[in-house]
Amino acid sequence: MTTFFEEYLAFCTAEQLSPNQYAKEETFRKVFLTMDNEFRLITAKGSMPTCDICNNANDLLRSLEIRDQSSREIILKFKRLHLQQQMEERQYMEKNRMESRMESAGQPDQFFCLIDAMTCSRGDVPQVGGKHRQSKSEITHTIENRVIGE
Amino acid sequence: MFIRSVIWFYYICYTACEVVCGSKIDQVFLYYTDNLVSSGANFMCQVILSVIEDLTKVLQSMDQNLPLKALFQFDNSGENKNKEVNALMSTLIEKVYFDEIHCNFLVVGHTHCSVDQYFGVCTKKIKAQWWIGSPLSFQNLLLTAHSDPTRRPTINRQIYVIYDFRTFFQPILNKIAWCQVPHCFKFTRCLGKAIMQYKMFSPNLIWLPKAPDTVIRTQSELWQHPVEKIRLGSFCVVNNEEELEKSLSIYDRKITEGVHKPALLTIVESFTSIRPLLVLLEQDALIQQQSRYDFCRLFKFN
Repeated sequence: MTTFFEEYLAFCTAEQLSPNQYAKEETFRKVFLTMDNEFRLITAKGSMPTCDICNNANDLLRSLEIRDQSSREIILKFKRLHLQQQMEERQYMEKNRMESRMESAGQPDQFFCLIDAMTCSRGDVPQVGGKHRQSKSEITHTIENRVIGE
Repeated sequence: MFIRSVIWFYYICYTACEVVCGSKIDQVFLYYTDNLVSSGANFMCQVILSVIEDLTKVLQSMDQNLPLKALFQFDNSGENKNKEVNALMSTLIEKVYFDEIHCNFLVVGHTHCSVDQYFGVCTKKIKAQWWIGSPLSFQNLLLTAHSDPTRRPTINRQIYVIYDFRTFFQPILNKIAWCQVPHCFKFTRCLGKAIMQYKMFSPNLIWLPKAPDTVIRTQSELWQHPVEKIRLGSFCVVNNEEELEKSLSIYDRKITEGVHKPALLTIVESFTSIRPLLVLLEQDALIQQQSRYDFCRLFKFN
């Protein structure tokens, strides 16, 4: 909250507003809290497609209900085990990648293909005179299927 | 025509495929579509076919053949992990393009990989432009985004036509509940029919459902082993409950109950008391994953 207020002060100073034109910290805090449902911080759960297991485990660790140290240890170990699983998946991927370099009698034994698509917004090319970014809900002009024959 | 191309070119979806095949091929294939094409299962199936097609051409130019085993690696989104992609893999097996196909998926939320670094460079390059005048200049921009020529894509093309795989596969699809949870799938052939097996995580040795002990001689015998639901045990997100207990130094519950080591007993008691919370944590995560998966499948863009 303090950081936001500092940002607000910096903005007001830059806009050359007189001190009686901008809110004091207490007023800022009250207004900020009334807008609780209208904004979401980038680190908030759901803002980015992050891991649900990690998020839930972190929520549980932050929860005041879990005060017992040994219970917290168990949650941490659960999370570590989950992270270990993802590490093993990654190692398996690297192993597959390396094994795909093998050849016998001049012919490859197998092929490895890692497919990943980029978020559409990253391919949002610059456009002069137009609104640069569009949210997904604003895009209504796609063609679902181009059926060319049956 | 120029104005039209600017409007048409406003929103791009691009897909990179890192392909490793033998000692000579370690390349990036880049495919993109315009804003009129919706992404989803159809698009992913088309990309898979394009990769196979382009790889075959590259291999032919080197006097090599397409190998009979394919390993596909995806992130865990609903666009990649769906019935239509599974059906396509099964078709490739049944039509004898491959003998064995593996589809592996990284754990949700931990899918950052080498291709993402590639995307980072491309995005930086796109954002640095004031103006991209035509599809050809965009294509060239992606081609030259990397200063190192060895890292540039060898295939860089637009996908113009996307077949309607979803409708094509609709009559033959099997509904398998919770098929978005496992991370490894294997497709093989038995009596000319494709068989799909799964593993929760790659270190697991056994593919499920287990092959029957008796030899299958007819297709009617094969149809007696259908899977309608993937069995999810408790703590499947960390493989199983035993694995979790081992990480807590609880190796055998029956033995532990007879032992009176205070430290171990504290762990067992704590685990017993916190277990319902962990089960809730897991269920909540799976439900969130399911809803995101459904959203991705239904939504036009990913």
